[in-house]
Amino acid sequence: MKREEFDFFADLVKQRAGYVFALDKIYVIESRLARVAQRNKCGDPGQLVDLVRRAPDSDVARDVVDALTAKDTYFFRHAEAFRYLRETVMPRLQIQRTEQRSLRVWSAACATGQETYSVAMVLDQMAVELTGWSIDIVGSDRNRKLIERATKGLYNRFEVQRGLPVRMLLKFFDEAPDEQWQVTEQVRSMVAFREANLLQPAADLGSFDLVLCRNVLGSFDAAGQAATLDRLAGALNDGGILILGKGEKIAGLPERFLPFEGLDGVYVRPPAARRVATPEAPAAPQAQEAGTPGATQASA
Amino acid sequence: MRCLIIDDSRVIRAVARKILEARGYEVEEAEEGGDGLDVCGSWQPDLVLLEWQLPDMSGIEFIELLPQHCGGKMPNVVFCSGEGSYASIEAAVKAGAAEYIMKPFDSEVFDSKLKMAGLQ
Repeated sequence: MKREEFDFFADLVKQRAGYVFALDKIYVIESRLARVAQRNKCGDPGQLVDLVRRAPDSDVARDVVDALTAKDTYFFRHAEAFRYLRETVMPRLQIQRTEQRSLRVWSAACATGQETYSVAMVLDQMAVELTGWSIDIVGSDRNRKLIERATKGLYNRFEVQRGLPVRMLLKFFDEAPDEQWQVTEQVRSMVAFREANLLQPAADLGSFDLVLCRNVLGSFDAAGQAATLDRLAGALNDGGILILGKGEKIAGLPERFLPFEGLDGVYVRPPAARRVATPEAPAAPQAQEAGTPGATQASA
Repeated sequence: MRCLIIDDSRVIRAVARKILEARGYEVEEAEEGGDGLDVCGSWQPDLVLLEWQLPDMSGIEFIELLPQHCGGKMPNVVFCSGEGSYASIEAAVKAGAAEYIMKPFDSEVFDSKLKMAGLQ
């Protein structure tokens, strides 16, 4: 692949999805686009560039971006985060939302939906504690094909065996034709999938108490990370929780979120007043009494 | 950690052995359930990787007989089988299997299942 072809694809995927590829990842672009080129009968990357240039809103252009943003996902990825969600985050949110008795969760950049359904399975296991609560789980991704797949909740043998304990397979899945397994109707009914790009405002998705945005922002540049964090913060209620991927170091986090106790990658959205105040604002002692730095009763 | 692979397919035993040895397991093999029970008594594995249907007995029968043969140290049993119906998996779990691997599998599935069975 020539340098100008690399520049074209890298610019395209940054503009449309926020992903940044350094020049030393040219081989990644080359290998990920090989099948797209083949499908479109392009003998070399230059021909693919021409196709996309001629029709920037075509399926080919979308295929290119989709191929370059493909994300590995599986059920209960980083199992510790889900244990922490159940044992620490949820009790905190239940206290915060005890008056409203409603909880909205956003699984952002959810790809084929495994993360979204993992959250739904955790909350389903808490059904007794959440009796009478309104639970709304939204999974979103910019890739329409992935959203269509996620909505069906159909997974092959490999997919249901990565991260998913066999007892949960039996509890939350039905057998489907062609050696596939489908998430039960009960769990699918807890979840709605929406096509949404993290680079654009997410106001139409509403506000949330918990946002998971894992293993995506690390592919953005610092400006893209900070801008996306602003949008995620804007979508969270005061005291809402943000869960990032394990070990992700994201620019602009300290200015927008406070670390949540106990697990790396979990953050709290401070109340609006606190976010524009100095770090020494007097809200801290009150929050510590509540057991979570920065967490307060939701004011909505 | 010791793993006993019980499967009448030489290919599957070889593939599983390669994956397990790469993860530091000591590995023994058996083609039939009866031989497997003997090895459990003498070698006392931590993990038994078990096919659903063996030439001389079913995997479920093997699990039922295991307490009498394992010398007081019950290994974790993980089924590894092409049989992947809901009913079979449910029966295996009810019989006491810690996990269930549906064939075909890859090393990621294998790792994931061993981890979930508390064996990695």
